[in-house]
Amino acid sequence: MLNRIETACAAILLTAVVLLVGAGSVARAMGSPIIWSIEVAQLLFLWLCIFSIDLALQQDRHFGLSILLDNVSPSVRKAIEIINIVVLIGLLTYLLQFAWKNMVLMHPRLDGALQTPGSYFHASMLVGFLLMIRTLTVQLIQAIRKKVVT
Amino acid sequence: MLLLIAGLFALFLISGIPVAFALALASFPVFVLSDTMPLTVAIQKMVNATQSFPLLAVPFFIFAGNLMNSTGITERLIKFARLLTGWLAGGLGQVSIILSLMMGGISGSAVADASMEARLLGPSMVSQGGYSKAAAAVVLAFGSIITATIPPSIGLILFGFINEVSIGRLFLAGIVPGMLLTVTLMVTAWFVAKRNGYAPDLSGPPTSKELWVSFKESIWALAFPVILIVGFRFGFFTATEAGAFLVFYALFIGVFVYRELTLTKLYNAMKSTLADIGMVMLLIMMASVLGYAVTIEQGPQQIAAMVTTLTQEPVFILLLVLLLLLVSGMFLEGAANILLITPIVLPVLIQAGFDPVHMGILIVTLINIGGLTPPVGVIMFTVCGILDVKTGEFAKASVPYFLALLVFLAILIALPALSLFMPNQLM
Repeated sequence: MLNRIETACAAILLTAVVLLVGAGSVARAMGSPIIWSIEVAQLLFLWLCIFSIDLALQQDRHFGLSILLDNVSPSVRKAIEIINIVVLIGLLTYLLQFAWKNMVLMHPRLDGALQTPGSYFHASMLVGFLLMIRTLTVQLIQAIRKKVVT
Repeated sequence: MLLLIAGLFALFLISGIPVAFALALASFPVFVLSDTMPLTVAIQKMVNATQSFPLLAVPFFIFAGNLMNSTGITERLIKFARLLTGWLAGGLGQVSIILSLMMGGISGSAVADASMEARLLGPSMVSQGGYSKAAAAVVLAFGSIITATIPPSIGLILFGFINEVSIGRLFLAGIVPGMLLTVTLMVTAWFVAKRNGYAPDLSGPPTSKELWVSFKESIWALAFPVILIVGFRFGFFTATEAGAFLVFYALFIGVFVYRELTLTKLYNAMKSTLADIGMVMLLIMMASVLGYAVTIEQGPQQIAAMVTTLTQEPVFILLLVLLLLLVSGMFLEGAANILLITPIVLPVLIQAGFDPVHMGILIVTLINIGGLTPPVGVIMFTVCGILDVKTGEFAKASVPYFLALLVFLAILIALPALSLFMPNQLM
């Protein structure tokens, strides 16, 4: 369910970014540039990245080396996989407080022609970390439950 | 501190943690151990990494490539490529090489091109063309690196973005080397086919009428690089706007010209685009954190100092850097390599008197060649996985192609004009 909402959000954002940049360049060519089109496109793109990164994580698309994992016994492999996920959850959880601090810090800063508060941008990392922690927790449970085939 | 970063990165990489997260973990100590740099700075770097207009070209070209593949354009290009080269010795192998050149104009990544061609052409190369599985895999894999130099190449966009080199100039500079690479590979494939007796795919050259009909069907894909070049030349659009334009172009062709693009196909193209974007962008965000940490620790200066104590001769500096890139290309995937290594080594090369655009073409090609080698070449693994070939057999069959690539690289290094002619004339 959450996956569907994320995909839908990301797909809408992608469409919006394409439309904004397209409209921006046509308007510029016609001599009446839309000054805010690029700003907004970049803000939306940031949020698009956040959702896409989590979607890629759910599909195991973040590329890593499997050279060690392929050459150890299945039970060791399982242990390493679990440790890796725990390390990542640890990292993201630790970074969470800094993402919060940073968002508060950036809020008063107004950006660009639209004077967008900086927190509109920087809140994305907080959301991104939370989404990834959720995904990793699901993967951790799956990894622990997985039976070792010997 | 730099050694600590490198050590941690290697440790996390080997333990199987995704590259992007290994980057974040490796730069962690720089922030934690420093009194002046709180981790909030790292968070800001991640956000700021996405806030670049040239970078927007990446999602656009990925999206356009996925869309083009759903429009039915690929099948038409295969037909055209078969008519053009299928009657040569090595038949389908030649078709796959020329197809990579044509696909380069619409899809930006070598891995995507290799996996598409391995699925569509690989099986019939073995069953009809007389190729062994390993020989077929090698032709498909080597052909796909042509995509990396033909505009719009994602590798060149990333190179231009991270090193602040004009993406328009890089695009133009890739065209002639891409064609030369195509010819080099086709000649090699011809010799290999003669020696091993691989059959041609068609009995004779096509009639001009057949060729014309097929050309007209494929014109929509073939025209795109031309539109790009004209657009840059007259300043109609930037690379990013060209990307957005290509998305509309692909939609238009899919809905109105070929009429094969359905809502389901559109949705699926979007879904795979999103996962691709997520993968590249996490890498970019984390690489910018590490890049910042390495710069704070004066990494580029130290590397430059190290190189200049070894040699002062520009040619040797270049060879040293290329060797480093080839080795790192064997272990890391292309985008990671471009984002991590090139910002450190390019300043050294520029100081030695090399042109950044020329270097961009060379480096992006070389990094993709790294993807063709054991132990972990991504392109090699993709193709070998699809065709069920052992990497040892792949390596054996690839020897003649590697020799041909060495010659190609030497020519590319010796004659900067091959890369720089187009951008200097047109921009």
